[in-house]
Amino acid sequence: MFEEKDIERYSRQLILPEIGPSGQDRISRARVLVIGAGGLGSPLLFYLTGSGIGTIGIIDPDSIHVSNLHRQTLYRTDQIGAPKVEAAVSNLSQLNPGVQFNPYFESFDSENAKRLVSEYDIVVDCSDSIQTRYLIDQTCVKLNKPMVFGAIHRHEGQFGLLNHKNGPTYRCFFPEQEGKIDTKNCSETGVLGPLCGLIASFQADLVIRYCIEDPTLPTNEIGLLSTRNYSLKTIHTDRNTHTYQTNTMKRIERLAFYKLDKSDAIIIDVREEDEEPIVDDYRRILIPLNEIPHRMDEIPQTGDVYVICASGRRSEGAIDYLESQGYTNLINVEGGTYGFIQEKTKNA
Amino acid sequence: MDHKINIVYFGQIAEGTGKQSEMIDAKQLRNMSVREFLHQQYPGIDQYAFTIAVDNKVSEACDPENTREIAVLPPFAGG
Repeated sequence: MFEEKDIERYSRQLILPEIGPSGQDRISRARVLVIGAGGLGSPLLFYLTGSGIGTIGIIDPDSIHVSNLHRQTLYRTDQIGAPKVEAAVSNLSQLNPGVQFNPYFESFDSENAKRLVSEYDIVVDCSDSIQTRYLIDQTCVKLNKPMVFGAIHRHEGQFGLLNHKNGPTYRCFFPEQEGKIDTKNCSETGVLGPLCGLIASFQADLVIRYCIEDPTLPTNEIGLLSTRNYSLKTIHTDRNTHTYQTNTMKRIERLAFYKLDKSDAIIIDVREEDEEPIVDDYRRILIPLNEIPHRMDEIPQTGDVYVICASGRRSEGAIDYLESQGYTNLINVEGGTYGFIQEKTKNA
Repeated sequence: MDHKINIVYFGQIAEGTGKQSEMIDAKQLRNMSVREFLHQQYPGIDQYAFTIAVDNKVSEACDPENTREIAVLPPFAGG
């Protein structure tokens, strides 16, 4: 709750007519979940903490690496090796001890997504994976929570407030398109620190304006920023209700799949040949996604058939296609081979 | 004078086409969709996921004579 002792700390934002004591009180009561404490999460967290957000959850499974420091302004050289969430809370608490931090030293995945998101008012996507972004989007839609997304590629960035006031979601702008080349993240394509700061600043601005219930917040657009020519473009769309039709696909949770007796199980792996991670714990029939239409005679139409890929997305696409061809016995393996390996590690 | 349309490419699509933008004649889109046109010009483009925005609104459809700009937007992964 905003108190009189905090007037001086927040004086420069308090004097803004759209904030004032009531806006600051809303900020101080807000609960914000930040997913990813890397290039975007670092600068974003400074601004959210400085503004006096009441409670900030920070989830990230990584520890600080020297290669992070050129852009992840939240961390120091003497913190290399420490979990990012721990170092973040330590540093941010010094900036503003009035903020409550909840660190989560883990991945954001299908097992914890619903529980975590349900505890917060708004979710900020600072992840560095498309799969995570789609999971955040799906969870926010299910729980009716707004999501501020941010994403970067070399000298360009995207950002926006989504799933707000029945506005469009991430999938409305970027529907999943199975079988395409995976979009690369910063560790693969490279990035300059200032772009992270720019996109994170837009995200922080959207979060704060959401908290104060700014009536002028854009609800149906995303921003595209390029530092090549300093252009900022906005793209609009409407909510596409077809994107979220009820999904009746059968699924198996990754822990259940890990524990499943696979000695006689039929497992179709729709990844590419030699695609990592290599898993040799069970027999599989390898049929890359693009070959499915031509190799359906290898897939039984009776009995349980498990379909797996790296994350559970391509396998969903394969099942969608096969169900359109009359299959009713397919089960998607949630979390894919990555999930299997995580369970194997956890249960070793 | 023939109507021209500016096509703007982002992210990996710009890297694939080797262009940030290009001007095309509207008549090139008279008998095909934007996606078909892009595939014809850059056959490898179908390997990537992308969204098409016509005059800053997400749309697969385009009225060539009344379109000023088409943006080709892949989702970005980095963060």
